[in-house]
Amino acid sequence: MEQHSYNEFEVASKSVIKLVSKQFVEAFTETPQYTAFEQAYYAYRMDEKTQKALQEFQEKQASLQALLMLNAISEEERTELARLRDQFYHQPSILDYTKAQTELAEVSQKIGDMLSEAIGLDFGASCKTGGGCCG
Amino acid sequence: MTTTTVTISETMLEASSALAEGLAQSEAILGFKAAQAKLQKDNEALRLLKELSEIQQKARTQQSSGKISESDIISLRALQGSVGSNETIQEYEKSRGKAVLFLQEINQEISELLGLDFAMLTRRSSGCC
Repeated sequence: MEQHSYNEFEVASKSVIKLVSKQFVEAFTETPQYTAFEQAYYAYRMDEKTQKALQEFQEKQASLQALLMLNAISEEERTELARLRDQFYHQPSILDYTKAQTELAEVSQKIGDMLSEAIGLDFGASCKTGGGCCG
Repeated sequence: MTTTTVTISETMLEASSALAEGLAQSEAILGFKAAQAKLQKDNEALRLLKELSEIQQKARTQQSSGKISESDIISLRALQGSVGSNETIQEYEKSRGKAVLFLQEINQEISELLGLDFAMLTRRSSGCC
């Protein structure tokens, strides 16, 4: 990839930035970490046993939501919920997926550091929109 | 916390560097850096920000104990007014806002192409669930 060097007063146009963003995405999707992440995600989504374990955990959690908010679930229900959560998180495909996600995040964090240093702002924090990520 | 050494390919480094340079030379980021440099040289603006930060901290401490003095509230409002009408600070805030919007726009484009929120992956404490 040919890289353009800017002088102190040169402004990069939006079209140039869009182009380098596109080239960035192409390079990113070719990293071994992204490929592994994609494969692990696909395997996780296709793994019926894991999806069933997730469904069971989510259904139990939803059925206890009101009691959980009031911190009023019984010890037995709490144990059962923990068992279902562990059952889901110990499935090989979710373990592989989580590992791949962590490795992809490590690459992204390094890149984020490079971007933040160049722009003088925290890239990740600046791009936070809205309040949460769970919605 | 475990730290691992991740290897990034030369191609990826080049692409990241090109993106970093492109962003740094964008109108929004150049404007922000110019306003930031101006703010750092403006002693009056820096004094106002320091005083405001100190009194806000004091007010927070007093608020938690339920005792904010009338004089501190008056000082806080006066400082907020001075900060609000200080041209250097306002220019800095405005340029920072523009830079943030610009970064969000670029991140959105990258994230749409990737199919995941790239900026979220770059944050060291990305989880909230």
